[in-house]
Amino acid sequence: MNIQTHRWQISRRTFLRGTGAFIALPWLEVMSPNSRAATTAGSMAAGEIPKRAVFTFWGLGLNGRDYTPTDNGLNYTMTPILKPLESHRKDFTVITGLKLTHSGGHGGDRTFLTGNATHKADAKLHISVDQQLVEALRLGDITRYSSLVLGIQRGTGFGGAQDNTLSWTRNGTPLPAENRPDVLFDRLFRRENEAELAAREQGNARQGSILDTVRESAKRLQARVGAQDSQKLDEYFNSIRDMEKRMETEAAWLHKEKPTVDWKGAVPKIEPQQSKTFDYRAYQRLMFDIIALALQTDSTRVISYMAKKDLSDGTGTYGHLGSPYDYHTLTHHAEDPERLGWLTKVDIWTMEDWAYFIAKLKSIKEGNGTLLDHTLLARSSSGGTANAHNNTMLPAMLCGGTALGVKHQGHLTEMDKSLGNLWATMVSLMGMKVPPGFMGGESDGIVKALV
Amino acid sequence: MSLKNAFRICISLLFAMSSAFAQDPAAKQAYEQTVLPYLRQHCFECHDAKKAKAGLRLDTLGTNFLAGKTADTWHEAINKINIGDMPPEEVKRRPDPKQSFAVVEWVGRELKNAEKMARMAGGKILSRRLNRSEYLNTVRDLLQLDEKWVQALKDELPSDGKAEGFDRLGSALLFDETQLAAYVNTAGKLVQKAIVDKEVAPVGKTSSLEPGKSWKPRIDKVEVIQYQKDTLIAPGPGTSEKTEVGGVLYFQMPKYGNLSVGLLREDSVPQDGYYRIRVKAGAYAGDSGRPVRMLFTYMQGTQLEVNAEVEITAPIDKPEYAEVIVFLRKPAEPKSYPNGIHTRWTGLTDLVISQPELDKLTNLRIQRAIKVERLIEAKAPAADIAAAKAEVEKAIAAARAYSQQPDAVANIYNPKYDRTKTPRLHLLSLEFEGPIEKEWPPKSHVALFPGGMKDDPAQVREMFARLLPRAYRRPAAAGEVEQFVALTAQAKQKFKLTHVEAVRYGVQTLLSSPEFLLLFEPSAPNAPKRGLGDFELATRLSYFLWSTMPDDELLRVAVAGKLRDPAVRQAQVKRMLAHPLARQFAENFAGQWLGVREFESVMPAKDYKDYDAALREANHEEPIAFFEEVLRKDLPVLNFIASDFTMANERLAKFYGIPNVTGAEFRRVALQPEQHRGGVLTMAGLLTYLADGTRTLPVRRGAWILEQILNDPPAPPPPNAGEIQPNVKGKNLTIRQRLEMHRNEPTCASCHAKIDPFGLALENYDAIGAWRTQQNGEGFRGGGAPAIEAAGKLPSGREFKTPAEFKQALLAEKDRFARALTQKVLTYALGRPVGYTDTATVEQITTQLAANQYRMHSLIQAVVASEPFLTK
Repeated sequence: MNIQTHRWQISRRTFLRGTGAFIALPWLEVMSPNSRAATTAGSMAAGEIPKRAVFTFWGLGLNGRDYTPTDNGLNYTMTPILKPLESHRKDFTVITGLKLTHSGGHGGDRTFLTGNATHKADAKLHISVDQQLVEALRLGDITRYSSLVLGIQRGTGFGGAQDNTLSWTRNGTPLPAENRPDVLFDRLFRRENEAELAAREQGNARQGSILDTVRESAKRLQARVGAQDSQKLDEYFNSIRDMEKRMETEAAWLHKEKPTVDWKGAVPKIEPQQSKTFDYRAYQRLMFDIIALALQTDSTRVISYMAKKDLSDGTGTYGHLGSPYDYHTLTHHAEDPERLGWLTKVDIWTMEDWAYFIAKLKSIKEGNGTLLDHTLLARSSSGGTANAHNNTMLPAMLCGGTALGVKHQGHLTEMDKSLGNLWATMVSLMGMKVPPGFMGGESDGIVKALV
Repeated sequence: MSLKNAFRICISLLFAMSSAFAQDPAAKQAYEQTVLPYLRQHCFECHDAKKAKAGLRLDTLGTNFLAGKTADTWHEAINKINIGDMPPEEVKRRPDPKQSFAVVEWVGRELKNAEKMARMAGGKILSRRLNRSEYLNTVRDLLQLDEKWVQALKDELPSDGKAEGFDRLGSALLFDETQLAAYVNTAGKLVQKAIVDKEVAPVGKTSSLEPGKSWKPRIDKVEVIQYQKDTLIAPGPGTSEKTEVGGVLYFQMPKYGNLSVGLLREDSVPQDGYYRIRVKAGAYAGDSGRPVRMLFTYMQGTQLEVNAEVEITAPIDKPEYAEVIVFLRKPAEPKSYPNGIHTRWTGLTDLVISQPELDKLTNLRIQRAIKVERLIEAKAPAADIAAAKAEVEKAIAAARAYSQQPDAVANIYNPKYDRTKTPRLHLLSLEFEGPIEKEWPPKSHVALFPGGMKDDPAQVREMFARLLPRAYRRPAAAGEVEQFVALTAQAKQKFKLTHVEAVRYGVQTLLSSPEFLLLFEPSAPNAPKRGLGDFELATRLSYFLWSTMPDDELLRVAVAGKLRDPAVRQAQVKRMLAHPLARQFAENFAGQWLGVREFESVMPAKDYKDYDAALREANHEEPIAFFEEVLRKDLPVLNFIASDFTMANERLAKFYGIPNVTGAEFRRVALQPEQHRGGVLTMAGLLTYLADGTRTLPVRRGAWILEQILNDPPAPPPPNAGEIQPNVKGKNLTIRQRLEMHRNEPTCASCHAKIDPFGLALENYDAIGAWRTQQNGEGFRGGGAPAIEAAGKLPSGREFKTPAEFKQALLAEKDRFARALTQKVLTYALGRPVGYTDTATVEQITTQLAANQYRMHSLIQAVVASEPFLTK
């Protein structure tokens, strides 16, 4: 499973298991009208337009010397790396000075949306910010996919050195990321035929039946254990219940037609690889196109995207455009002017692709504004900007979201504040109450200047 | 875990034990003598009942870290002390940094202990689910499935959380929907594979090549000077020729050649499985002394790379079929097979060489041409350039003259070989087929239905009656068997399944049930500790030493009720340690204890030219193989600190400078002092892992040794702890010097004094673990790089000058290590943290270990005989 459907509360169901018949649940009717076709999106009233949040992660930091503006405010002096965004100046805020305790090194990926004590074997793992949004706003009841978990590499990567995902369940299980544009497109927009639908229903019915049986076994066990062992069984019961809910919701969506989108030709099969021939630019822009469609059709409202990994970055670092070094070598530049030069060049290319994404979201009309205005689009990193991967001065940027109440500030300095504050700002604007212990305590409020 | 449950656990913990603190007299003493006086002197003035500045009272802050917010408050307090925020600047009387550190250290340790306590469940071993490797091993053994096929499922299972450094602790092996869904789906795949419904094995696709069909004679003329048609000469001898029977006779193997271009098609490997590579060939070994072999590489240079070979035994004039069966993983994208099945053979690569005289002429021409380029680049005087160009013309004239000799040839046979005695390969065809089944019906199917499968409820009953006790690792009641028989029959009706499908469904349900997935030891609520039953013992032993279910022998002893007899148990442990499955203990214990599973997290920079894929692989194997050697041979555990041998293959031996080791397989090799190795601390893989790919990180190395080798982790760093910055070009400060600067700050000094000596002792090993005597990496170049200084002393004052002396110093204090290793093994064996309440157990085991010359088996036997291992 690469696309997460829900694991949260929905009203208890009428669910006829075993007969292959499913009754559409009433709550599906609250589904937004955009979900039917990309073309209907622009015709909605302002109140109907959904709020979205997109969290993107770019491992290993960037060349802060050529990125961070020296002056604050709306009319800050442009820097070489920000230059590609010049024409969108009013649509984003660069936030300087944020940090995360457990970031830095080569494992800042795990703490990024969770505050988890990164990669330490004993660290207690908690839920990521995107999944908290899904829970709090009950997105599982509203959109086909409660969230999309995307990355440059597929799966979770857990147990390996770096993660492939930014998203974690409430129990601290990593959610696998999807990295194949064609598979992602199929999930979102390809309609299953009758035979496929029947097979899915049959499979669901059998799985449901298995779950019934094993629940009974677990009940029998529970009678034979003390309180401490029974905790493990409670986890087991909860996982049965969550799995049933997910199957139930999936079943309800099964016969709802997927949105119609205007896409010419087949989606290319591109598999990211750490090689000099991999066209990171084409890949990135393709992913951005599909993400834009997913948001536009209200297939999902929350996305996490690990666009670049935290060590062997998975991108080929624009080798096809001539970059001779991998990104990791570039970040340990040892003040070598040649490497510093390439670092900036590669960062500029990355920002050009980011500018493409912003322009894309801006080109889609929604109500009186654009898709960008209704999307909180964040990008940041695990690494600061010196000759090593520090956990301070994380380059951060919030784009769009003006319809949700964002007031862009050009360049804003929030020295030594936590990156968690930016996430707190975003989730508040989405309509979620920031819970105590948010980001493992790595947040002491919102970035007030932004709202 | 639900909040209600968390609360219930907390409450029961509070009742089950007094605080961690109260049980450790040393901690109590440290509190009374160091912490309390410090607080009185520096903190209470503001943080007491009267002022309670910032709403904080430290005078009432208890020492029970498990109570309420106590732990959080302490943590906050030491953070403030650590970064020098408290006491505030305006307070004149400054605390002595050493005392501050003592407080920080005490709190750090208590925090750690509290965390342990919370996970200890009063010393009981809690039920937990199987971890990923245990699960895969178990289904392999339960259903008798193919090992390779089962291991390929690994990526589909969510990975496991760790606590106390291991993936065997219930507190970290959580269950959630993702986990359960993966189990149910995987079980579906397992039954599909294990139980078959076809009489004959499904046949995969075949593709083939006949090299003779595409073989072409070599071009008949070669240009001596490129594009100069008037310099054409005969090519000389070829390296292959077509044979009368339509094959190709190869005399030589081109260095980068591939005999099977085009053999793989887009969908040649549609799924993970076994495939057959078949050749029809004959060979002549000549005087090489070794039979000719054909070598195959699938997905060269990728993670899926597989190597295989076939010996060609048929004579050269009577080619015969020869084949090899390989397990291949499906590529992420169809048709992306780098080099297909790259095929070579063990022929000479230099039988045909270019004519030496012609070679000389060609080189001369090229060198002179380069000289012209250089002169032009350097803007040399025109006269010099003209002269150089004239030299080029002379060389060209000489080459042309050569080409005009009537018998001129481009290549000749290498005179050092007797052509009649060089190896030859006669290849008629290459075939690729699959996926194939190695046996049909598969072993798993036969094991479940020994006499063949019948649509007969009695057979289903019989099958479950045999399967259930093995799956549940205990005898099964008749009712339990009946339940599975019934649900299989119901499923057949309900879902209109065939008999095979229904049986699969039944087994899938079994594999998804809690009693299979959980290591479960029933105990009544609030029951006192009890001794384990035979089956529970068999299970604990089996998962401890083999990471899988008990084998038939262990179950037989359990059925006989003899496993509680210490002598029988000891004999079983001995048997288990000699069994091939004991490799699992090395992989899973040592793989985590020595960080092997995380080695990949550090990728050395390209500047480290010695580092390559072969070294990376060897780095992974060395610690595991070394641990296994100590385990198998029952050697003293002190070998982990220092040893006169290591385990190496050719690649690793070359890196270490050990001569006369050839081949990829690992074996025991003796070490000399000048090789600077022995024990785990100086293994290249570990040293690489404890660096950052570009430079060494002595603090990381030191902290790791404290944590893993001495089980005495340093206090957590303060929130503002920076990183020691890399060397800046031109400054040339060694890491030792940069660390000293860091230590000059009093708040850092105390902690680093404890950590750094352990890491700096290993400074002679660079960022990939290569021996060095001068600083390298980080922009240090050549003669100007400062010399490495490794001397230092342990906290006890014991001095050392070299890494070898450092190891001897650690050995002189060997009981610290022996105790630490005991704690690690005990944690792994019990699957719960080892805390104060285990002090007596740990001492007992350590004493026994020391009394047995620190031999590995005595450690394992003592752990198995310990009270916590034998009780629930």
